[in-house]
Amino acid sequence: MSASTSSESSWSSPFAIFGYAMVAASAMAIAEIAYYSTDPALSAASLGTTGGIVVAVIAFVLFGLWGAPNE
Amino acid sequence: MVESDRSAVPAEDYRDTYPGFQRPPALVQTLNDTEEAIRQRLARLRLFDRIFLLHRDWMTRITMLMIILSVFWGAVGAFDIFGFQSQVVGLATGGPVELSNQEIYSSLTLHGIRMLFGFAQQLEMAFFGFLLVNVLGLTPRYKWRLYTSVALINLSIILIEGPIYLVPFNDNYFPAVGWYFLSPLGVANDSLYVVSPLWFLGWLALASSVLLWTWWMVSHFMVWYRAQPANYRRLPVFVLFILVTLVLIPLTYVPLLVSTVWDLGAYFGNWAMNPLANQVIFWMFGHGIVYILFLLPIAGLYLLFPILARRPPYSYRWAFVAAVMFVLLTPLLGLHHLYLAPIPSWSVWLTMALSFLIIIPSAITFFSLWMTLKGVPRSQWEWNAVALFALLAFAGSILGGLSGPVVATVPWDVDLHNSFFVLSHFHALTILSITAGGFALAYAFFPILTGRSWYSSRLALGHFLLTAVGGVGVVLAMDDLGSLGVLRRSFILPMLPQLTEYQLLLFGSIIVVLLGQLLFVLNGFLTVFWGSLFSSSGLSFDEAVRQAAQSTCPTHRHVPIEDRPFARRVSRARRERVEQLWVGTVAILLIVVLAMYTPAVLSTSNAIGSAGTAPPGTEFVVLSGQQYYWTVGESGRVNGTFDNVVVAYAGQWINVNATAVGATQGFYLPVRDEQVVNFQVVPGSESHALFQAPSDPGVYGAPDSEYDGPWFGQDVTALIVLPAPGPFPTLAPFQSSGGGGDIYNPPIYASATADLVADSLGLFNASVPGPTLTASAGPVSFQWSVPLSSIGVNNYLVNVTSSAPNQQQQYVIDHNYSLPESFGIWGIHPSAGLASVTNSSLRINSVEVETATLLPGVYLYGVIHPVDYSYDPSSDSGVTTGSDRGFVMGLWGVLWVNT
Repeated sequence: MSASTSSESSWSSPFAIFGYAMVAASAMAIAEIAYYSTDPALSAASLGTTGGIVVAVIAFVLFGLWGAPNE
Repeated sequence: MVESDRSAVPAEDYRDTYPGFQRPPALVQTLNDTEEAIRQRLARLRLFDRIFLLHRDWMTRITMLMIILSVFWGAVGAFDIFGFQSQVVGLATGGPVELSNQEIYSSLTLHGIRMLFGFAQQLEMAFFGFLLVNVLGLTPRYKWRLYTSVALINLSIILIEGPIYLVPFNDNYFPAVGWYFLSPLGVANDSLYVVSPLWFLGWLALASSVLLWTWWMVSHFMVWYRAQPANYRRLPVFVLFILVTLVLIPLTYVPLLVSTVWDLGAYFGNWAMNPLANQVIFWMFGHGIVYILFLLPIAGLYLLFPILARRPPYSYRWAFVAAVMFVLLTPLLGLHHLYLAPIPSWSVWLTMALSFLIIIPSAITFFSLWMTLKGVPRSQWEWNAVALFALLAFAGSILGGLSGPVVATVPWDVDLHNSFFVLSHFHALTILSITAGGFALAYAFFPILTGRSWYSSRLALGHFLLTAVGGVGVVLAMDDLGSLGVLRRSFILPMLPQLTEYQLLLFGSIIVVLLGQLLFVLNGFLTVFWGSLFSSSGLSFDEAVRQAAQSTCPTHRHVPIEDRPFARRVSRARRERVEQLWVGTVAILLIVVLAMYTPAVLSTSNAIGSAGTAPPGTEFVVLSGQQYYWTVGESGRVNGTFDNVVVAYAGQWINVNATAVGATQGFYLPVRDEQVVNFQVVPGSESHALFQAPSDPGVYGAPDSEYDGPWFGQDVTALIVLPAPGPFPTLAPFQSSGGGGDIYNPPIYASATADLVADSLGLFNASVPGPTLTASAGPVSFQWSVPLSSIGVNNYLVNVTSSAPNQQQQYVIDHNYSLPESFGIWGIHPSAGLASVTNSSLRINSVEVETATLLPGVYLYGVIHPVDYSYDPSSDSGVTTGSDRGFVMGLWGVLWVNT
């Protein structure tokens, strides 16, 4: 982790708020997509892309938290 | 105009097009004089002066005009979808249908066109033009080039509507084609549905407008560029994305010109039509336009984030990489709309790979935007309407963006092609990303343009909340409908309770979004009349935007608007390290997922493009698409010729060879518990499919999955799955299994208690095919009726050309309540096809009881052949207006007689 400043560690900084929005939007998208995985006929077609999207979202958040601030 | 601190060259260094010593050409002078006379006259009216900013410079006036016109078309487009969805909900809840099929599908077509082009494209042109001129500190010029562009784009939307006859009033020549019009649908001599030539002229006007505007923009950019060599300054990132738009427009709109001219040549000049090639060209436009519009929020967020955060974008270099990738990849992706058409498998694979690759510039963009905010203290950030809509556009882009890879995945496209899931993805981008980004810019620019601060921050907040809540509701409802397998543009829908519930949710969400937009319009109106004066004098562009945004902040604690010097403390290398790791991770994920899917992609595409090796005992089916039904020829264990009926034994392999005329058709068999069969059939090409019939004997619905004209909803085929030879079972196992999860299966009624009643769409009990009737062998009877009240100009059963009320009903009365179509019962004999059991002419307005003594087996009842119908209510149809003929089937079903 990079050295954090008081602003970036704040739960209500714009970076944090946009992060929450990003996580919420991703969760909604993944929930929409994963819904199809409950259908036996469709799960095989959906798993690869769904898995890739889940990993990408996790990476997005982790890299964002780890990356240097815009200072 | 606003003075910009970004300008490298003072404004006075630019000479206007026509300096004082040089008179403009006579035509331009005349136009200038005329415009000035009109402007002065209109400016005397306070209403016009305030709304159209007639006292301001011409660039501001035209920008305001474009914004107003885009809002106007947005409102009309909203009315279109309100009309369409009210009919869908009416039908789903058992209510009457007020509009004709033509009006219903025209509403949907025009909704798409007015929203995409009249609203979004025009708004993007307004904002990008305003931005480029302001940010580069240019003196605007070439006024009439811009005026002509504005005139053409709005004329195009009017032309596309088609002719409207006032006496007698007839507005039924609106285009029921689909904004993604697919050749040859609508083209005279090639299609049963012929759209007015004004439709094609409208598209030509649209392309001309946007290309002309691009020329106008490039001309301004070149003025700036030529002044730079000795003192070159790096372009702001958002200007890079405006330039990306300018490059993509010719790459996108020129294909539109080509496909439209080809359509017109086929329409009037009997040019040879190759629908598949035409569609490939069209989709270079159809797909590219979405990215062109998506660049509005991208450029907008790259403008607003640095201004609101008071610091530069996180990584200029990676933003540049993203911009270049958007340019290179966007024109190459149109084929992913034709995954299920018979095109070479290598091209399908390559398109899927490129569709995955374009995830990278999107990933760079939204990661960079997010990181731009990292380190911004809460105390320096203000949550005004500009910031809130920027937040919504950011989240909406991610929501819509993440469902993009799904629809780009070929095996998944088999399940979801043309379903509501595609609409969910699309509307996440259009409402929550493109429109939200547009509103962020509108809240930032409106005070600068009008010279007045926003009247009400509370109305702005209400606008944001209703747009966000309603938009999310639209996306969720569409996703829910998609999850059931409901096709887009579906108007006639299976009467399932959860489907009605989702349609109501969709309708409610649409209303919420529309209410939000009313607040925006009201706020804008109040602002131009009663907003406090706003001055950007002495402010930089960034400061002016911050000050404008402040007038939309509901709290009174404001952050200072002044620019502050920003000194970098974190090195570029450190910032770019995380970008490199992020992009590398995404690239690896894409390669892994693509590798996983490659075998399935190639096998799916190969199976559509060429006939597979048929196992022993295969049923060979030849489908010939006739725009609203399939003629079916079968050989194998079942032999015969049918209309919209395929017959096979449970588990039997079925080998399909399909062609079509008139329009592209799709065969969609969504047996979700076992397999989904889905392929497109493009006129002039052959499509193939090899699949096993479902394991449960029963009657399965297979709707046309490609919109092919106003009777698209009636076009559903029945796949009748027979049991193995022996005692003929009941449909109880089929019912208990939920019909394999295929929602398009007709409902099942016991024939003895069935009461089949036709509706105004010519369907029994709002179902197509009609309900499947069951009985035991022996004497079988069922009751049916076609009420006189169901007969009208929109019902295909009575072919009367008149718009006079009740003329169709009078025709029925004059013909002793009898129509020439045969109504009866026909047996399906596996070895010989159809054989009549009983039939007579179709009786209207009496309760009939059909009776026969039947052996175990499968029968068809009703009007089992298509009815030739010409929709021409005012005798106005022709080459100059369009025409609409259909061979329609709706009043039929299957009778299942068990041992």
